Amino acid sequence: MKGFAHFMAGLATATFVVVIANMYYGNNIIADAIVQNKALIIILGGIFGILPDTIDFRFAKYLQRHDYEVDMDEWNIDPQKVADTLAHAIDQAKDEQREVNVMLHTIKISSDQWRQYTVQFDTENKKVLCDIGPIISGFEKRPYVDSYLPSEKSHGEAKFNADLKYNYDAVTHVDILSGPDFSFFPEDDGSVRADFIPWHRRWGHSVTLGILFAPIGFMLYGFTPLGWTAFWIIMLGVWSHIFTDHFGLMGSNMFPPFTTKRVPGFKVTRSMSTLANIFANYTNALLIIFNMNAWSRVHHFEMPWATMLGISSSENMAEWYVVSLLNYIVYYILPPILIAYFAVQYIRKRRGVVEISDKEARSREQLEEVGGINV
Amino acid sequence: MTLMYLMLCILFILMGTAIGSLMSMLPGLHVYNVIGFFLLFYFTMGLVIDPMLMTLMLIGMLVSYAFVFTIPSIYFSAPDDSTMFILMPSQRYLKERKGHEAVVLIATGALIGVIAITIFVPIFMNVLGVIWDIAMPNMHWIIGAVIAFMLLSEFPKDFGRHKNPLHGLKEAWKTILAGYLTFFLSALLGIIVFSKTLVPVEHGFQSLMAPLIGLFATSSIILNLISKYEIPDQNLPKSVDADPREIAHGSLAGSVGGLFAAFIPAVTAGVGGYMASHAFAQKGDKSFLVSMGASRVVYYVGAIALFFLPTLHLRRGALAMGINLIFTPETVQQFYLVDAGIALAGLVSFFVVIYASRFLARVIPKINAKLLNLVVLGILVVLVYLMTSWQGLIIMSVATAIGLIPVLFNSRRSHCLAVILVPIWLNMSGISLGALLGLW
Repeated sequence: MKGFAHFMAGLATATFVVVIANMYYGNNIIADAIVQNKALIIILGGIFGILPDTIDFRFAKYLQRHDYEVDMDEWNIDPQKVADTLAHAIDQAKDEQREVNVMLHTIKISSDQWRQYTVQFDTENKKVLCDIGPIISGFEKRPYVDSYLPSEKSHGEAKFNADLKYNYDAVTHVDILSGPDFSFFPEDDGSVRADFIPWHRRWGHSVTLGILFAPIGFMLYGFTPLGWTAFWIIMLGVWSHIFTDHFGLMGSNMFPPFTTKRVPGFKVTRSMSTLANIFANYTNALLIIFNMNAWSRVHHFEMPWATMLGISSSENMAEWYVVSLLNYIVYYILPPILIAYFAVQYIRKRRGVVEISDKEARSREQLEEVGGINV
Repeated sequence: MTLMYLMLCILFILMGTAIGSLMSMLPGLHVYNVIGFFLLFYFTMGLVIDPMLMTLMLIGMLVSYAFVFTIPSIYFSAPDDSTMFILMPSQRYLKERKGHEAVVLIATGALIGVIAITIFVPIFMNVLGVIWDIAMPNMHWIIGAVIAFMLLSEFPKDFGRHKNPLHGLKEAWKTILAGYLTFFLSALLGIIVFSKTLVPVEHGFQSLMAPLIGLFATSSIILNLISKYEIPDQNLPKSVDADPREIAHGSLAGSVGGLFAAFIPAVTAGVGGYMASHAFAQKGDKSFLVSMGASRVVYYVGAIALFFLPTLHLRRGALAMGINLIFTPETVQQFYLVDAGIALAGLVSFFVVIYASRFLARVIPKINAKLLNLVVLGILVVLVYLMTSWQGLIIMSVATAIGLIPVLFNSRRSHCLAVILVPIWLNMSGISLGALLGLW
């Protein structure tokens, strides 16, 4: 998901924690601390909700060491060098039984023009293919039609010997801002595993990190009800990020240092999907409004199911809350999402949009993650 | 309401639209500054002009500004490779001879934004009222969350070339830290300006004029003056060739962002639009340009609609506050009159933008943009001096220096908005930092 969706998920999570803490401690003390004493505790949810991406894209990316860097410029374009370097790195990982990292730099021409090139791992024929593409314009990546190189200068390929496991789409585009990097890991079965942007969704996107950060709540508010609330907001805020990301394909490494590989996602959507982001933000925004209303001493709206069942918030807050929330979801959250979802499916079917394979979808998600965050 | 009065209303709306359109052609000049002058003028002529008519004229000016400001922002702030790290889509379009296309896309977004306001704000009148009642006691953390997102969502704009991890972190954090410095200094300036009236007391209501002009207008003009650029001949295509989905996506994102900004104190169109572009996972220049137009119009004009909305009467933006000095909205009829006025002014402004852009696209290579920028700089300096005296000029100079930081270090200019965001946030959080600093 985009940063904003994570931020909103973190805030929504925080509002749920506040509602539950309010019920647990009673007397509306947490809500009063927020509304009357102007505590800013809910913001912690947003901050820690977006934090995993902040860690990855502001820190982890720069801590990644590279054994090889391929850095070409417009007057020194060599696709063979790209292919040779990658093929060599794959074999080196196998021969030396260690992780080998390669960075492919972008080719910047002006403040808005870049030369695009692609890298492809042909795992069946054990070849790396590199093709130099056109000059493209900015983030829209519109190609300049007269900028293609002659075919003899635009293609390079190199063979490698190791068995390569590469889970993603065959073609990786290298175009704007900073380029992608690859890690090649020797596996126990003698093959080499290739990871695209290896620094992303590792320790920065883990359950472990949420547990490590949670005590900051006590540092801020002590071992008070507010401190415990902050503890849960921080931990669940980080976890909300990992949970939201898991709806995509790429997944995260959940329990480092005990685990080293990413656990694949639920494959429900792609993280940069427009609809998925809109639905997530819409849901979170509405849930935040609901929870603010729930913890308010005067409810500005009541849901009819609770009234029909004769449940009052003053008599049984938990029951009132659950029934009202279900009612709210059924009335206001689900219908627009379902209508939009089926409308899009209908349009896609009518237009004959072909569903892409898991492998391609995973690859697109990864590429979008790099571009999406950078933009 | 008599037919004669209705005709007068239309006349004043059109007058406001015409004045606003002319003023908005000048780069760097904000309609709120001009409206300040008009209000001063009105205070002396109050017995002659009906407050509602004056209000409609000011609304016409605001609506036209929200549309016509596109012209100088596209044609008179040209890109220069030596000063720009990454081009904004509008600048890229100008460089690729498609300035007019950019204007049309932004104006289309703006027109859809106006339609959205005039139709949806009345329909969701009661819902907006309920949301406001719920959100109001929580506004301190909502604004705080906006600030937190602004600070956390800027990612490094580097090209990945570094000698070692430390060097990489240094390069990456250069732009981020410049952004934080801009945010901190702008916030400090805002706290000082909000806590102590530095300008002559009789012009106290314009105390934000000098910092805002410095942060956003003069810093941009100085950048234009030091940039080496040439505006290429512009094409005038028959179609902008935009996919309806791009227009719909951009309009929706921009309208939601603009409404959020109009609703939440201290949040502006830029911040709202930026958040909405993330929320709606926007892709592509065309969608972005459309959303820019929608966001700005919904922010400026939506604030006025919310002010007149019978269930809310929310004072957002300098115009609502200015109008509140001369007029108090009371009836549903007044709301619908304003709503209709907004629609009329929006429609007229749309065509003004299109025809002005067609004209400018033809003559732009012949215009000496640097001379124009110099003239506007002169006008702004005179305006600030007249409105806020020499004290205002000093504040403007300080703000200009702060406004140049993000430009020179390629960080986000929206950090300058801390000048409003932080003082209002602190105020809503019950923190009187101004008093702590001895500014009372």
